[in-house]
Amino acid sequence: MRPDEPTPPDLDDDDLDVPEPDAVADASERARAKAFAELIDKVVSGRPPAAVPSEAQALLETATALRATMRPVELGAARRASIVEAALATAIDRRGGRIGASVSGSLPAVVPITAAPRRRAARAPWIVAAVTTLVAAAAVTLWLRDRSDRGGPAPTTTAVAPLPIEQTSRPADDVVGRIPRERAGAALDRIDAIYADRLNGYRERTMAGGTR
Amino acid sequence: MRPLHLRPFGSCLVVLALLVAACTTAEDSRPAPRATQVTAPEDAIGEQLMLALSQAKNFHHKAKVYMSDGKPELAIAAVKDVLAVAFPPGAPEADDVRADARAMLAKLLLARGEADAAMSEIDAGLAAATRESFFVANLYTVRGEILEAQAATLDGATAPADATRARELRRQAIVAFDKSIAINSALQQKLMERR
Repeated sequence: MRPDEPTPPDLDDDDLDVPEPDAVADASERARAKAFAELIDKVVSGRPPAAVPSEAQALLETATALRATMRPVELGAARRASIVEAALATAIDRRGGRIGASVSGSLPAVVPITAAPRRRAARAPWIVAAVTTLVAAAAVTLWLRDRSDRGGPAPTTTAVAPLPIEQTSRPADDVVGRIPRERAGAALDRIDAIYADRLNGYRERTMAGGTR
Repeated sequence: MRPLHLRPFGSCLVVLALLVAACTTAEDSRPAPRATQVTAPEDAIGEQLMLALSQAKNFHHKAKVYMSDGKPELAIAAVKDVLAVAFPPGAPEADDVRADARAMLAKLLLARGEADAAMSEIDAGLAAATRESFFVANLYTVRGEILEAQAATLDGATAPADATRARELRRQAIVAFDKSIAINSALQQKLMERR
């Protein structure tokens, strides 16, 4: 206790006369209340007195508990970041099968910067798999493109398909037959007959899938 | 090995399998390349032959229209166009169509009284003939008709030379007709044997 701090009032139980609930507070009661309020202010502001009377200790703990329930404790930014980093590291270690290997229940022991190598180690298999997949895909693509460029084996055998006589270009004697003298100038009828005959042969050949 | 490290490689295998499956499917959908190539023989009826025959046919129809319209000179020009039609090289139909056009042309010229021009067409047709055919036989027939007509023009002549000339023309006409008959008979026999 610092020398300038006021001495807490004597709160001996013997001196405490419990007043009636509806009784008006007298001077001594007000003085005790004021002294207890100052004591609580010091505790809350982080300047607790070195010694607290036993009867005031119980009241002080009760008041502190009440205050804690009314106002949640807020952590500092550094402390908060440290706890979050520790929780993440624990989660990563659990996924990697290293539960409890390096992170214990002691949160202050967690140093955030050590989590980075672990994250890199966890990503390594994915990176290796991705690179391997890309290389394999490129190899397969090049192989298939090389095959398609070659377009398969070139025709090695050329065969002449025999055609029915009707589908060939040939003398038209069998179409027109002997030309009588009186029909010597009937060239129009003969060319019509020749054309019709050859058209039939041409259609037969093309509709059978032959080369045009 | 821990499960966490198996997952990337499992994913890698799945991606590769999908890639290969997609490429294999694309390959299968393409037509398989042929190891042999079947070609049509050169004497197959083709578009070029059909086009040439179609053109010749149209020129003959055009000539008929002109004749029906009383325009023999235009009919003669149309028949001459048949001679200029481009046939595929070596097509036997080309010889037949041109020989028939020559015969037709000679008949038209003879009808106009141009016996010498008609005979020139017959001579040209016979000179171009590469084989005997019914069309060549027809050329000989028309040649006989021309000679017959030329002889007939000399019938009224009183000069002995003209009479001699007329007899010679008739003799040549008979030779031409006989040639035509001989060709026809041989071809007819050949066709009968083929059937």
